Amino acid sequence: MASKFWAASSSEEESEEEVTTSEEETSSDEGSSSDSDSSSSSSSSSSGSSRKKGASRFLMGSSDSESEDERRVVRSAKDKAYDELRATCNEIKNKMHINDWAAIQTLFDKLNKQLERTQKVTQSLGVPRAYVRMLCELEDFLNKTLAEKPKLSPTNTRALTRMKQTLRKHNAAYTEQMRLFRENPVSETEEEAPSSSESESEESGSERELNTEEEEEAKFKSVRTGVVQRPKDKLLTMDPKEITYEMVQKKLQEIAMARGKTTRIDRQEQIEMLTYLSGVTKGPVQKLEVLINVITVTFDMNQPTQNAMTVPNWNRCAQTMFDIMVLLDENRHITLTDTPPEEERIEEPEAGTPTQVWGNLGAFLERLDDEWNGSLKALDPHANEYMERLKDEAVLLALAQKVSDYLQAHNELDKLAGVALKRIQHFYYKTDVVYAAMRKLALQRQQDSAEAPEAPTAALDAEVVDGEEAEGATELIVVKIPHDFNIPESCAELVEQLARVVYAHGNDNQKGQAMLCTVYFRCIRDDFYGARDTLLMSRIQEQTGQLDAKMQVLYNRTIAQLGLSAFRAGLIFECHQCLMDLYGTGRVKELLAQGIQQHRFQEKTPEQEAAERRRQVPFHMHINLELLESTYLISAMLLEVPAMASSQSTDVRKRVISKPLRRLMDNYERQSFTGPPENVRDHVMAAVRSLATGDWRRAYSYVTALSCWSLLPQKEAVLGMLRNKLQEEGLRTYLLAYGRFYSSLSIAQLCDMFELPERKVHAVVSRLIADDGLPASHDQPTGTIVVHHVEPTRLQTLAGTFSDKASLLVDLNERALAMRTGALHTDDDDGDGRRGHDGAQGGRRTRLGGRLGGVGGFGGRGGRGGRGGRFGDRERGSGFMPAEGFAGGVFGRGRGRRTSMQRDSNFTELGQFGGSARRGRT
Amino acid sequence: MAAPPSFAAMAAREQQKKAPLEKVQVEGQVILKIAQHCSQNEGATISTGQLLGLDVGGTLEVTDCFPYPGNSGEEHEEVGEGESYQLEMMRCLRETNADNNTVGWYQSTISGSFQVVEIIETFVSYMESLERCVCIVYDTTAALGGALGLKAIRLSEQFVEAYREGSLTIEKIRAKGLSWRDVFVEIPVAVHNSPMAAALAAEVAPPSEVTALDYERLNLGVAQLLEKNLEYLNDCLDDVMVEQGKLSMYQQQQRRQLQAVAQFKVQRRQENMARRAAGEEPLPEDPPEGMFKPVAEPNQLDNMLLSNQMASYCQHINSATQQALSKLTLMEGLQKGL
Repeated sequence: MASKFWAASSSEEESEEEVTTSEEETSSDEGSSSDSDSSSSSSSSSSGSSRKKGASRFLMGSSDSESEDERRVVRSAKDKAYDELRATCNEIKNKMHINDWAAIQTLFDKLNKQLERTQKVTQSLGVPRAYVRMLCELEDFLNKTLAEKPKLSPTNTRALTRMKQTLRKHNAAYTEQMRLFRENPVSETEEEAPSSSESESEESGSERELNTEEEEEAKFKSVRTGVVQRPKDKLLTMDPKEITYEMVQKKLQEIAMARGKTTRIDRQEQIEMLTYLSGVTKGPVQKLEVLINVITVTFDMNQPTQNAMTVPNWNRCAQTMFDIMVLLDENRHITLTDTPPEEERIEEPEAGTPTQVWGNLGAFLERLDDEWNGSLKALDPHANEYMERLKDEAVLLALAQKVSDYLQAHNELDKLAGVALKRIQHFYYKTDVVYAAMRKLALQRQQDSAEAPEAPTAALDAEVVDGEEAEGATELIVVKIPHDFNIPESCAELVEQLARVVYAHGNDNQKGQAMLCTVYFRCIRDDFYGARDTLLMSRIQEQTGQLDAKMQVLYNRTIAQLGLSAFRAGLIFECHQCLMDLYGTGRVKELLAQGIQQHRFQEKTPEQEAAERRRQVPFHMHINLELLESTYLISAMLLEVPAMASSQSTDVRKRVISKPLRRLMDNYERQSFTGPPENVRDHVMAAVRSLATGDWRRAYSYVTALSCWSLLPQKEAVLGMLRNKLQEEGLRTYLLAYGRFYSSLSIAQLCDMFELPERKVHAVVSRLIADDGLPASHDQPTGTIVVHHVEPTRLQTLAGTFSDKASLLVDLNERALAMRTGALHTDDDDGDGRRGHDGAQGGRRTRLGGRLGGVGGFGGRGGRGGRGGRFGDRERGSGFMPAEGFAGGVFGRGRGRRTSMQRDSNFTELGQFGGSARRGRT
Repeated sequence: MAAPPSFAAMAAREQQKKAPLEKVQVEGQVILKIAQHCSQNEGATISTGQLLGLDVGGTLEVTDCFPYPGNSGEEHEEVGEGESYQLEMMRCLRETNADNNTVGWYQSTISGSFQVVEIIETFVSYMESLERCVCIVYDTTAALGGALGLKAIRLSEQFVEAYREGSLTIEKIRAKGLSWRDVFVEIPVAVHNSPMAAALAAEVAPPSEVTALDYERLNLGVAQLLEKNLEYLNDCLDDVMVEQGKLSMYQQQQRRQLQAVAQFKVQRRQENMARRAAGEEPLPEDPPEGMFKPVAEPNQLDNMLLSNQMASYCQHINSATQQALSKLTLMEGLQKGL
């Protein structure tokens, strides 16, 4: 029972609920709602915890408001106990009606237990009237039953006799109360009246108390109603001047010892204690120790894996951190170390002597940052509170700057890297506009806090506590941003500078994260090439599988941004390459940690789900999924539609460029009725349909109808680029799909159709002709394209397939041989002998190859017996892969994708077959 | 026709000297019968029949044949029926005093597609009772092209030896020095006609082929043949790739197993060290029997046969194109001359 202790600290009266004034009622709306919860659902743990939360929420600060809260909490606990008691009484009455003595007996036992509990809760020895009345009624009924002697079952009779004995024994203790009750039997409804009068007397009592307080104010400055009654807080009642170093130290140690054992409420108490202590310390070292303890105790108040720290707690931590920083700044001889002190300090060291105090600022900051993120995740991103919370970022940044200044001054470079990384993580996702806004806000706040009186610090300083101000501070500790916090105008420089720090001092993980952050940062500033080069230089895409989940998420986010930036730059192919891995899996949300996706066929264990929940990125850092999806689908469309057109004209099945798009198209075609497009996919599908017939105008209108383009600052430029691309691809598609039905095409006509300049049309057509997509030639004098109708004969087709297959087989063979000679047989003699044999066979094959001469792949195959050639091949292959392609692998799938469509010179006549043969080799 | 020597004598001679089979002498009448039978139900099914004749020294004389009804090899429940038919036929022939000594069988084929596992099985089962049997393969596609696609084949000694020992592994093939070309042996075929038949042929034949105008010979229609052969080659390549896949799978499995064994050994060694330290008897280092079952190596037979098939297709293509090319050069020369 969390509230036990608080109950203990309050007064004994049972009917204190009436004390609540109207003012309090309004202030504790939330609390009373939780009350009703707890009373309705007996003693379920959930209601208990909710009450706890309510309690801790309001029990943060000091003095008056706190005592009010105390009463409210007590009331709820009492209410609950009373309700239980009454319920049992009613049950007993019901059983009395049916003469079920066995049930009455058990219920009576239960009632007694409840009474005990109630007494414990209320800390009163008084007996509720309901209980007394019950006793009276039971006695009466028992006597009546005994007198009447009704026919009862054997068990009932036995229960009756036992009941008689227990009741007699039991009632002996309550004779006095029962007598009083019998004299003045009041019904339950009337109960309120006397209790109110009682409460009035209580109120006057408390007033009296307050009066005495006032009288003795000089002596007990910081005494509070709640605290006075606590016997153990002797320290608080003492004159601060009398408090010695040892006393504080002892108390501090006591609190430190209690870490990890006690409940949350104890912590609350401890924090109060510590705050008080920090005011009466005998020197900066001790004060520092106390403050650090404040932080650790506050950190202990919540489980980081479960729910985030509450805002006041967070603010308190932040403020305490600032205080620590100020202290450290003022007393440069004090340093913080990671290792706890071996021996206890007995006396405050001389001022100016170098002293070490236990504490890890980097870790504190990290925790604070995590808690901030956690609270953001818990909040509704569309509510105002989210915005409010977001404003605290400035505090965090100021603190981080302070800490890193300190760390730099003390040359703790590894921690400095950690802090720098944290700072980068606050900047990397911000566009210049957002950054400027944040900067403005931070400066504004800095100014505010510079102008504001010393109130916030006063709240923590128990010595100068002033009733009014302290109360305000409890509601919301306004963390002051120190005046020396400066936030540079250029975010890029800042990030660059911080990244340098991480690169210089961080570990591999930190470096990787910093690198990804800078790549992300560049991406959102439209520096695609710079970002891509940085990413490729790091070679991180080759080891995505070994990264931890958090970093994989960051990596995926970076890749997504890279894709978006490529799209903005008009690099459709690159954009598609980046995004295809994200969309190929169909679980974008999960990969970007922007929400939990439910999968049809796989159940997640609760642990997995919790882990996923923890991975989530706060809302303000999200990448807009709609934009991402449209970008991906449009880039896929621009690549896929011409490819589809070319595979239609020749019946060779080509590689599918974008599986998700194909799947969508299949679904789309299966529909019997297709309505007007509604979502992103519909729009893109409609655009695909139009573009497939070369109708770029309609495709463009569908694409521009998407709402997500307004998210782009450079909307016009992007749409212009899109228009251009659609025109080109439309032309290409048109030529591929319908070119073979023409004998000649007028370039002027094409220019007109696709609104392209003649040069562009010429370029597109030439490219198509060169790529063997269109069997045609330019006829310059007439300004036409003459289409040749050359279909490969069946024999040619077959020969093409044959060459494909043969080359594939040769590849497979080589691999098998390499495995046999390289990997399997390391034994040298054995291997040599075998290799010799192979060589001989190879030679024989060569002869055979010569004999079979013209037949397809045989000639080539015979030649490859030797070892050198083979290994050369392999080496070339492995060196070739990473250099070749930029490929955005997701979760370890970062293999190089071969993009070149080199043509085999032997098969130029057969065009596309040669190309597909080369591709088969990968 | 020489008086046939008694069976007993022949059998004895056969056992005495095992002169290698040098040629197969086929009666013209047999060829006609085979051609008729095979072209009758050309298409999906393979037509087969029995070859009868004599084994004389280095030559195997095939003097008669009779077809099997339907397709004997493919459906198993008809095997018994086929056998009884065969025996019945043999009995009838003996009664009519015709040649009834089995020397092998004939079968139709499309190009080189006869080279499958079944033919090897049949050969081996024939060879159990009949050491010197042949199979005459009649190529119906060649017949379409106007050529006589007749081949007498048998299995090579080495191959049969290796085959009888069980599954063909790479090691075994290597040890025996076998290659895919050593599976089948082709025996030259000589056509023998009785003087009567020769006389009849001379009577029936048109007066002179040289003088007749035969432009048909200059036809360059090889495309169809090439197409067909390429198609078959493609199919073969697919099969070879499947085989290749099996092999690489095997290699992977084996490698994995080797790793597992090595791991086991390392573990055991550590365990043994611990045991030795504790003063206990060390356990044997080799893994117990049956712990690691050896991975079954894929049979190489299919691979060899596929190679054979492909070789024969290629040969067909070769010969066809060679002819076409020579015709082209001929034409070129002619045109120059004109």
